[in-house]
Amino acid sequence: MESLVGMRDCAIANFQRALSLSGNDINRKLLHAGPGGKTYTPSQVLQEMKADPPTQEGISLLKIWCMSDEQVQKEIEKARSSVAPSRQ
Amino acid sequence: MSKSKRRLRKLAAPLPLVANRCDYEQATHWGAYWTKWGVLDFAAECQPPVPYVDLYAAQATQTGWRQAIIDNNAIFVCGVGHGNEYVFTGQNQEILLDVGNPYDLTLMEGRYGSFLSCVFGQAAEAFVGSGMLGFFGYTDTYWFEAAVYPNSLATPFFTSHFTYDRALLSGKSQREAFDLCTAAYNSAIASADPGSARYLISDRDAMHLDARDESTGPYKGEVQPPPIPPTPPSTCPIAGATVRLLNGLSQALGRHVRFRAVSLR
Repeated sequence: MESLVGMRDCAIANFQRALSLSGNDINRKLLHAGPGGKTYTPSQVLQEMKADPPTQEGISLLKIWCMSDEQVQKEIEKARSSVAPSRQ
Repeated sequence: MSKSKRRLRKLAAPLPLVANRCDYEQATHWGAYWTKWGVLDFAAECQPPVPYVDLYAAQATQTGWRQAIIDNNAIFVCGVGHGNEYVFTGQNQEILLDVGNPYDLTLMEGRYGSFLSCVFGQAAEAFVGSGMLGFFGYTDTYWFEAAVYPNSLATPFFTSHFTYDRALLSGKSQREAFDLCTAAYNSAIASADPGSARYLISDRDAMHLDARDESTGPYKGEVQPPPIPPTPPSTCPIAGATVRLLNGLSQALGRHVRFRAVSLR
């Protein structure tokens, strides 16, 4: 649980930055297939990440948003090269 | 086996599949639409068509699920439903499969499964250890984005996932289907904006396959029909209601305690 506290700040900062870049698109809902069937608006994603104690969904969101932009870009590049290896 | 017998078996109709398409809130509403697209429509187009039982909405109950599997001797079970590390659920979170229920472990013996459900992939080892031939699921929360029903932002998430089911229906092995599914997620990640890519990366990395033999599949080559499971245990209706109440309370309190009705027979 302690490591989650460390994750929280960077995850929230990354999420808020992404949100401002995408123009706070309120039509973009986030859903999951876990118990409860909750639909998240961007502000609810933030609430979930701040929840104490953290829920299963909150922990998952923290892991997702704790990834740095560089890490995400690296994953996108890796995916691109795996999709079209002949073009590399 | 003689040549004529072998030919007969190859021409025999494929064994049926059973799909959970519960539909009672937003996530399952989208999931039900995409399960029809991903599995049922595709099964109907296969040559020869794969027979299926569509457990839609109110039909996606524990009784309906068990009966459909037994009566049709389904080789493949799939669909969408809320879940956790122990259970895969149907309409209104009614439990369809419970890793702690010996009957459910027996019911899955000799069958293949693909579950679009949060965290239920963590139950794969127990099911396969008890005789299930293959189990595909997700070990973490399954996220998807959505805007205008039924497609828009959700498309790359569902098309990636159902690549697995469609590959199996096309006669691929579980390993081939898993690799094709990974490739589909990669293709979606490659063309996604960084915000959406994060969720796709998370879903791809939560994919989990556990199989007795990854080179087999429910529609690959000659397939042995699953063993006939025993009759489902009967449950006292009052006990069932109490159990549902206790499980609801347990969930509301965020506890991972599960209650189960036990047959008095």
